[in-house]
This record gives sequence, structure tokens and C-alpha cells, in this order.
Amino acid sequence: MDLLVINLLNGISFGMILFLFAMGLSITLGVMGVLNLTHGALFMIGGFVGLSVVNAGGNFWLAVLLGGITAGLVGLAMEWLFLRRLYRQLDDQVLLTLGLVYILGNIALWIYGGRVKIFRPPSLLASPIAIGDYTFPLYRLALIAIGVVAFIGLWWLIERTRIGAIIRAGMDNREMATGLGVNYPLACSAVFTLGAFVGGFAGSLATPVIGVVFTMSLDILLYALIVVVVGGPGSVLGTLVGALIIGVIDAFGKALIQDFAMFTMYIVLIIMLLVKPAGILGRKQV
Amino acid sequence: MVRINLKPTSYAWLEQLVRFGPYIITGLLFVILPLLVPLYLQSMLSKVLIFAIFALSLNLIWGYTGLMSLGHAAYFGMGAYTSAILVTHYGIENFWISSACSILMAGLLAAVFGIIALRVSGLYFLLVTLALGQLVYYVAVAWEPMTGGMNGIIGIPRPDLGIPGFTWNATYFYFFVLLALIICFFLLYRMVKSPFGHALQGIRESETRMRVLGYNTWLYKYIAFIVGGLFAGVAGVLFSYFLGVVGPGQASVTTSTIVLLIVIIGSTRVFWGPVIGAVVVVLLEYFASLYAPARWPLILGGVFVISVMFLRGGISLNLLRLWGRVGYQYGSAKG
Amino acid sequence: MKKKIITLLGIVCLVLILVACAAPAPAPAPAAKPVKIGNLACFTGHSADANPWMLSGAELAIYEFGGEVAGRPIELINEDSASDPTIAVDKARKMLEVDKVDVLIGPLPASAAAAVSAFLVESRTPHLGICENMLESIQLGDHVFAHDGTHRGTGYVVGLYAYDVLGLRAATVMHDDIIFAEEFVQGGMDAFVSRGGKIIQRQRTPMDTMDYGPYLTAMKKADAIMYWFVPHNAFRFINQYYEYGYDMPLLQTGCTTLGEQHLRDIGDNSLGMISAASYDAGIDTPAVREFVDRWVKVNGHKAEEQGRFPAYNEGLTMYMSVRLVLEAIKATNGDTTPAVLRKALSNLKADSPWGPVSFNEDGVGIGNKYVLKVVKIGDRYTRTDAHSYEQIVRDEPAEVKGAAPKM
Repeated sequence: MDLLVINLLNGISFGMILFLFAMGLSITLGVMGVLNLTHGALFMIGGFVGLSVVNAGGNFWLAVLLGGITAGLVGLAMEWLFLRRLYRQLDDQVLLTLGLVYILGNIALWIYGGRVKIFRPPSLLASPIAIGDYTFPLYRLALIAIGVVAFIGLWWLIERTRIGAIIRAGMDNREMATGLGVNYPLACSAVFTLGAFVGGFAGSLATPVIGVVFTMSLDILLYALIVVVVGGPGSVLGTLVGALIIGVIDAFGKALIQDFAMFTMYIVLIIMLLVKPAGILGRKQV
Repeated sequence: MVRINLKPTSYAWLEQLVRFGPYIITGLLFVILPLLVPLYLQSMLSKVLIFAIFALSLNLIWGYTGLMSLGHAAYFGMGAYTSAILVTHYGIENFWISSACSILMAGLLAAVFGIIALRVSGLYFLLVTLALGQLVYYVAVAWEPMTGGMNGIIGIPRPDLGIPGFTWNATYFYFFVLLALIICFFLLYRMVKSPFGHALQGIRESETRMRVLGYNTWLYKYIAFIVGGLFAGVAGVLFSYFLGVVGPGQASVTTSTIVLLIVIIGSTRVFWGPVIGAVVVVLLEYFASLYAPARWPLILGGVFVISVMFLRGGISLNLLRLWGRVGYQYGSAKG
Repeated sequence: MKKKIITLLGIVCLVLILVACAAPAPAPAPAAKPVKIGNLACFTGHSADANPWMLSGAELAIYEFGGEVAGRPIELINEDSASDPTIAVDKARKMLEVDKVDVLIGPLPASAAAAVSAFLVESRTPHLGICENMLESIQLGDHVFAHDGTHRGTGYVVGLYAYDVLGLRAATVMHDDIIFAEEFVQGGMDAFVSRGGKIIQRQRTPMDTMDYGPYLTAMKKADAIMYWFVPHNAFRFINQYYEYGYDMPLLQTGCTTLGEQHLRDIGDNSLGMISAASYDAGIDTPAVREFVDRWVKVNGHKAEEQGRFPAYNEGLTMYMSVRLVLEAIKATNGDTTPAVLRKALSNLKADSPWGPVSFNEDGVGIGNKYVLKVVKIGDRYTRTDAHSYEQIVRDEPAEVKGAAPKM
């Protein structure tokens, strides 16, 4: 019984990281119709900036926040300079975003070197707590809590505020939203930046657990793509559900059928795409 | 701007020369070049040609049918692995037999995967093909006794053509691959220019319209998908002989990404675009890595970004436009 | 339109410039033909973290010889293998056909090196590994020289140490699902079981695992955990291991993979970690201490993250690879024809800061093997030898093979 609980917690904590990270991808896809393959690099940037801040003596929470902000700024620059011209042009989006992944990955190698780096969670959260016969890291529980808070915040923003309404309207019909007098490009930039911020924030939060390294951009992106598809792009609740499902499947897959753990993820993706491509709670067919 | 064409028809030959000149020169270049360059560059050119075939196969389903696949390396890898396994594990040395089997296996895989993938379109098609490609990768890694796991299969000899007294060298291999490219190029060109090919382009533009016109669009897409897989298998077989080793990376998303980038940067809307893309990307990657061993991904990424910003539509399309301009200035009505 | 033309021309020019730069420049003919050592380095890719140390190690070996051997200048040619077998073979071909190297070293990881060894079967150019070699690559031919031995050989000594010296009796095992991780761990398991120990569990984890949580939760309690992962994964695994509050002794049944920077990042939890190697900078002998001084003297101008201290095992094995090659060339009086060089390497008995090193008839190294333990000296986390096995064949002995049950 304890084992079940622990594995569930393993899965949910990893799922929370995926949720925060995938939110950016989901919003961008849903709102702007842009497939931003550079999003993984934003996760990495968040982690590295957080690392630099901590190494310079900064406080943990400041580091995580700055990681998010830097990623947000990079995202804003990307959107403004490149992506806003590529609406609905899949070719160019893929070429551009992958090109940026190469560039950002190599810059990270240049500045930070090749090995995986880590910074410690705040000492308050650093020790494991006992759950039955097992021990579980307190920091991961904190991640779950942070994820829940972030979810509430984002959900409220998208579903309950005027800005969120504008964004949702734009997801469904961009021309109409513009016709209603909304400064759509500005809204897009804001949304993209928010998504980038949350992605970088996730990267920074995740670093004490999985570390940060220059090769991680595409690895983590694959997870996020699966989450977005399973949950449905553009929906906050959908992304959460998708992320939790993937996180839990990952955890139980590793615990029970070790040799085929990675398989399970992709098979879930394929089944999802065949049965309900819009995702569990998807807003729109892209 | 209206230009009244007053030139006499005896200059028509000039017009034809200007129009076809570049193609003739490029063709001759491919044939003569290996004899002029050092040996190791000949090997690199072989790699270019192999990826040209690979990219042409992807462009059939992407540029012509409108299906962007992020898992095309699955069929490349299938061709490469089957060829490698038949030759090294089962001792089927004869090139014609082993390669035919490998290509068929690649096509078979495409037939199976196509049924799954074609249930969706657009972004979801991209993701399904990605997932299917990754499945192949994981099978390649997990099935150690057959595939050698992460290490792959090493020690693949040069192809045994069954010609007595024939020994390989890099130059012969280059011409061998060139011949394969010419055949594939020709076959794909005929396919693309045929009514079938035009139907594919119609599907790319608007599938609904084609269906209204009475076409079984699913069948057309499916056939295109399988053909794309077959030719990717050809490239895979050649690659296994070229390198002598096959690893799971050949079926993974990394390789799928590279070939996708090649097609995009080379131009999806020009038939020979992928060939140019292969030339640019393979050579760029190789030489950038020689010149800047630690920074070459930066150069590669930079070229991609710049080409999106300034060369919309890919290199070949812009080359054609450029050449069109030049032709225009010399008095022909088209470039 | 003009922009497009400029950009097109720009790309064409870029490609041409790169081709021109890469083509070997006609150098003035030197007095004596240089000895060319081809280094398949890992500037990019997953093995990139140890690259600066590998370069430093190679340069140190050349420096110790004064830049020349048997009257011929030494030329080190570095190319990026991107830690990938296909790119490594591409570069190996270039080194063979263009640079006309006399010997090839590397790359990492061992699977990429095996691909290069296979490629070199035809030309039989001597090929040395960095760190351990795959057994199958050694069996490919007499051109492969594995001075660091095989993976099982390294795991083997850790397994012996665990049972004989530490007195452990039961172990749980976890490792990357990749052949050389299996080989490392197999050596350790075979040694342990052959002595009478018991393996109670074995978990294989996929290479791209980032979160080891579920595996850690599934881990059974034993006297110790035997593991091996590639550096990125090992670092994550160890951090998460302590995150979850486990305290079984960590036995890395294989080469060290984690350099001093890693240990510093892990902190006090790294103390007491066990691993094994043929060479280490922390061995407490005058010869090794002198070696470390020399290293720091030659590389002192570099930043710490660029190789100032001999902090990575890969740097030391690279140093030894280059040094052994140079010793062999010295023995042949500068004759670098492949057949002569291979024979010289076969018969070589070279001295090194870690004692004599030679090769057996299969090309496997014979030398010392050290079991290493992490300690803290001052405020530096480093390793020192906990135990040493003198002058053994750096491979698993035949009688122990297969001792561990199939799990």
C-alpha cells in the first residue's frame, strides 16, 4: 500500500514539473498555432540562470524566479523577432525553432560546460520524510504544492479574467477577435511570454531534482509534446490532466515493467491520437 | 511591366540554354566532381547523395502530399538495419537479394505505420509519426541479440554485387550511389509529374476539394506514404554499406529531424530542392565541425535561422527566382 | 530580392570558406616527417564534459617527450566525434585518408570506439581506446590495444573488494540499459558471487531517464548498491539517491565517470563512494604526486573547468594512451609503419606513474588496478586508493565468467 502511495507521489511530482513546462507549449500552440520546438531550450535556460544565481550567492526562490523571468524575456525576443511572422507556416516554424535549439544548446555548452549541474533546494525542504516504510523527499512534495498553486493561478487567469477571455476567443477565431478591436498581436506576445516564463520557472524548479545540462532541450520537449497532445492544447485543466497521467504512467511503468517504460508513453500517445486527437479536454483541432 | 517580345525565333536555342543550363552543369558537376576532389571528400559526397535520396523520399509525402512527418527515419533505419542484419547475422552477402528484402521491409513498415498515422492530419500526424519513429528506435535499443542494442551493428562489408573480380574503392562507391540517386530521382520525378502526383498536390492544397471531385484521398495518401517509406529504405540500405555501422540513432528523432531540416532548407516546392538541401546541410555540418569542432552546432543553427528569415521557401526556390531574373534580363519570357 | 541574393551568396561563400579552411594547407616540408596521432575527441555530444581534460592529458604526454620522438616532431590532430559512432567513423576516415595518421585514439563512448575499431580492420592502423574497450572490439583484430582493459575487468576488482575487504554479502544492482554498463556491472557481480555473495535484485534503467524516483522506490534493501551509469545519469542518480534518504554504501562497479567537480557538487554525500580505475591522481606514491605537479605546472594557466587539475579519470587514460604510443614509437626508433608499430605496442613494457604497463597477446592491458574511495583533503573532494591489485590482466578472469546468475 505504501509502495503504491510512494509511486503515485513520484508520478505526481514529476507530472507537476511536466505540467508547468507543457503549459507554455500548450498555450502557444492553442493561441498562436505555432509549434515552438524551442520550448525545451527555455526550460534549460531557466535551469541555468537559476544555477548562476544560486552560485552567486542568491536565495533559492529568487533564483527560480529569475530563471523564469530570463526565459520569459528570451521567449519574448523570439516571438517578437521571429515567430510573429510565421503564423500557420509549419515549415518555417520547425526550421527556425530547431535552429534556435542548436544555437542555444551550444551557447549553454560554451558558458556552462558539458556536465550535469545542480543546485540544492532550500534547506528547509532538503530532507526526506517518512511515509510508512519508505522515505520520500520533501522537496518533491513541495513541487506538488507549487504545481497546484500555479495551476489555480493559471486557470483563473485563462478562464476567469478578461485577458483570458480574449486569448480564448483568439484561439477559436483569430480574425473575429481582431475584428472586435482587440490588440491581438500584443495579446499573443503577452501569452507567449507568460508561457515562456512558466516553462523557465519549471526548468529552474526541476533542477534540484534532475539537474540541468546542455543536451536536455529536446529530451524534455518530447515529454511535453506527449502531455499537450494527451491533455489537449489550449486548456489549462487539460494540460494538468495530461501531465499527471503521463507522470503517473512513467512512474508505474518504471516500477513495474522496467524494460518497456519508455514504450508505454509513446503507446499512450498513439492511442490518444487515434481515439481522441483533440486530447482529453482539448479546445480545438489544430 | 509589359515586354513585347520582338526577338526572332532563331534565338530560341539561347533561351533553352539559359533555361536548362544550370541543370546540365549541375549534372555534369556531380559526375566529374569526385574525380577532382580528394578521397575523403568523395566519401562525404556519397553521404550527400544518400541523404539526397532520403530527403527526396520525405518530400514526396511532405512537399507534394502535405504530410509533415517527424518519424521518417524509421524507414531509413529499417532499411539500414535489415540490410546490416541480413549481411552480418545471416550471411546473405548478395547485395541484390539483401537490399531488395531490406527495401521491402521498409515499405512494409510504412504500410503498417501508415494505417495508424493517416487517421490524423496536420500537427497530430507530425506527433504520431514522431511516436512511431521513436518506437522503432526503442525496439532497436531493446532487441539486443538482433540489433546489438545501443552499440548497433558494426563491421558491415562493402556490397557484394556478384561481379567476379570487382573490388570496391571510394570512387566506385560514389558512382554506385550516384547511379542509385539518378534512378530514384527519375522514378520519383515520373511519379510526381504523373496524374497521381498531381492528385497528391491537389490533396495538399485542399483534401476536401479532392474528395468532392471523387478521389479516394486516403488511398492516395497511403500509397504516397508507402512509396516514401520504400525510397527511405533505399537510402538506409546504401547508408549501412557506406558507413559499415548501423546504430539506433539511424531510426531516431535526431535523424528524422535532420532530414526534415534538409527538405525544408532545400525547398519543399521544388522537385530537386531536397538534393540541394542535402548538399548544403551535410557539407555544412561536416566542414563546420572540422573548422570549429566545439562551435559547429552554432553555425548550423545560425544558417537555419538566417535561411528562415531571408530565404523564405528554401534555397532552391530562391535559386530559381534568381535564375528567372537573370533569364528575364536576357530576353526570355520565363526563367 | 537583393537581400535574398546576398543571403544565398552568403551561404555559398560560407560553405566554400569552410571547405577551403578544412582542406589541409600546404605546409613547408619539415626536417623529419612528423608522427601523427589522431585524436577522436568529444567537443560536443554526451561525453563532452571530460573533453578539456582529455586534451590536457594528451598535451602533457607530448610535452613530457619534448614535442618529438626519435627525432620526429609529434603532431596531435583533434577532431570532433560528437560522441557518436557514425560521426566518429566519418572523422576516422578523414584522418586516415587526408591526415594520414599513424595511430588513432578514442573516441568516447566505448560503443563509438568499437565502430571505429571495426572501420580500421581493413587498414589495421593501431587503435587505442580512452578508458575501457568493448570486448568485441578487442576481438576484432590485433590493431586494437586496450590498455585500460575491458569493462568487466574494472567491475571485477570492485566486486572482489566489496566481498573481501568491506565484508558485504548481499547487493542490489542498478545500471543504464546499455551494453558497457552491463559489462561493468557483470564484472562486479561475477566477482562478488564467485566469492560467495548474493545479488538480490537487478534493475536496468533506460538511457534517457531523468527521474530515478520510481526505481529508487522499487530498490530492495541490501548491504550495498552496485551501479554504473554514464556521467549525466550517474550524477542524477546519486543526487536523487540521497534525496530519498538512502544510506547503503555506493559501489560504482566500473570506471569513475564523475570528476572532482561532480564530487564537489554532490558534497559530503560523496564521501566513501567506491569505484575503480587503472590510473588516478589521488594514488599516494611519489611518482603520482610528481605527475600531478607536472600536470599543474603545464596546465596551470587554464581555468579550473578547462583542465587545470587532473580531475577526471578520462584525462589520465588519455595521457596514458598517448604516452604508450610515444613509447612504442621510441622503441621502433621512429618507424611508424602499421605492422612495425603494432608489434612494438604488443611487446611494449612501459613505465608510468602507476607502475609498468604492458599488453597481453589479445591486446588487453596488464598493469595495476586500483579501488578508489572518495575522501576530502582540505576542502577538496578527491579520490584516493583504498586497495590496489598489482600487475593483473585488466580483464575478468575466465574462471569467474558467468558466476552471477542471469537476472
